[in-house]
Amino acid sequence: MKKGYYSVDDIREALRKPGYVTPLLKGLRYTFKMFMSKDVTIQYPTERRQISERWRGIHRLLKENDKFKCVGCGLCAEVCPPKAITIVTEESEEGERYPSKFQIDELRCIFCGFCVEVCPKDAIEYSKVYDFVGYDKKEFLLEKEDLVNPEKYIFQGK
Amino acid sequence: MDFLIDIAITVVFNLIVFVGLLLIVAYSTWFERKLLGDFQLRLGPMRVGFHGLMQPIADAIKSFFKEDVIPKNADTVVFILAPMLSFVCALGVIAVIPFGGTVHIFGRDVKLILADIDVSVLYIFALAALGSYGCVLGGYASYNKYSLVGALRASALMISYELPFALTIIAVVLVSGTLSFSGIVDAQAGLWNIVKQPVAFILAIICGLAEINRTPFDMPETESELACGFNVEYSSMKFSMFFMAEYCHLFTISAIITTLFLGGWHGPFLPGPIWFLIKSIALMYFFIWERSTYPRLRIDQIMRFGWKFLLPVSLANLVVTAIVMTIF
Repeated sequence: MKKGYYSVDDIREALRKPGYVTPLLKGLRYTFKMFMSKDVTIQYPTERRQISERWRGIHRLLKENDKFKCVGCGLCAEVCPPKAITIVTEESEEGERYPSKFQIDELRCIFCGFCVEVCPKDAIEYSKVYDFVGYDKKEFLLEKEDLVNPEKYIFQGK
Repeated sequence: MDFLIDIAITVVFNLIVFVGLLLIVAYSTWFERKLLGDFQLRLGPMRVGFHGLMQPIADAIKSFFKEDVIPKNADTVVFILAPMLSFVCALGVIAVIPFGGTVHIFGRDVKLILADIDVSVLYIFALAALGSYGCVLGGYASYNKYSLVGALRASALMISYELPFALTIIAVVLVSGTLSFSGIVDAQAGLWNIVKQPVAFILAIICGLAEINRTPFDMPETESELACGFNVEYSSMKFSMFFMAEYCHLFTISAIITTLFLGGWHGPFLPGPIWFLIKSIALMYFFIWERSTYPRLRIDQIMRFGWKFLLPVSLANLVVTAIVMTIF
């Protein structure tokens, strides 16, 4: 209002022009539409979104006949770009090679998927666990026993 | 013996209304959070109890056990009194609101209204004006620049919007021919005042929003500008008293507008108090709905709107009503 006051004509115009009152009603209609539509948020720890089949969660070491499939060839540690995998190979009495130490630093891991691709025995894969938290950096160094069952890290709520 | 029964009925009725009001105040916080969640495509409180129904109780327990801080340079007495003043004035309004007709208990006719005084309209104006002192004194006493600005804005808002609100309601009083709320409700038995006074209804809703400091007129506590305004220094139970006063205002303004425009407790089939609650809650729903829709206005826009638009329109409404009443 340039004049600095409202005259009767201004009020009449304000009520007639679509610029003053109808936008307010339109806004109300829009929010009401939102009120009627479905909520987009979910109750997170108890209710979870569908995630992709190819989701790259923390790693899982696979076992066969209660023994690790891994033969400790060290290819994954070699190919890992951030060098997150530490692997120490030993040989058993029967001449089978196995990893005596298999450690993944989940803080260094960039989840590129090279280790899964390169493994000749398909001994490592990605789980779908994405809510892995810790209070200390040391908790993110997962040993081979931890990697057998990554589902134990799923956040359960209180 | 008769005398004792009279006293007993009054005491029980007062208790029911008081406890019911406090429950409504507690659950209107839940109602608002839940509805705002729905409007923003969220769920709102869900964890405490079924769909968060115990949330108000959890909030109350939390605020009881919070540390109560009083600023070093604060005016301690006023600082402590301000939230009480705010809350008491918000509660007091309910005394003159009629919830229903007359009920027959123990051979007595009990009117469902706490105090059927002849000047209810004056009484609510007095309490509304006094209630704003809660904000003003609280903001002034906390020795903080933000709360002082919030207090100044609260008083500015009260002065500018009390006037059109009063003029609007005087038009209703003219139509009904009485200042008492039960009289106004009785006058609407045939035709509600919203039909006779549609302009006044809209004006009353706008002024009512300003009166209870709600969005888009929540000037005293603009979070983005004043970091919560007049109650920025308050903590613990004192803060929650301000908070409860705010939600109590939300209910009482809905009750006042219901009484003045929507026929109070009148309605078919259902008993009076239920109609009263349905109408009040529908209005509360509207107030939450518009809160989720409109952004806050600037202080100069609010002042201009109040003085240069609402005041002339309410005056014109009053004059037209008076002329029509005189002619017909």
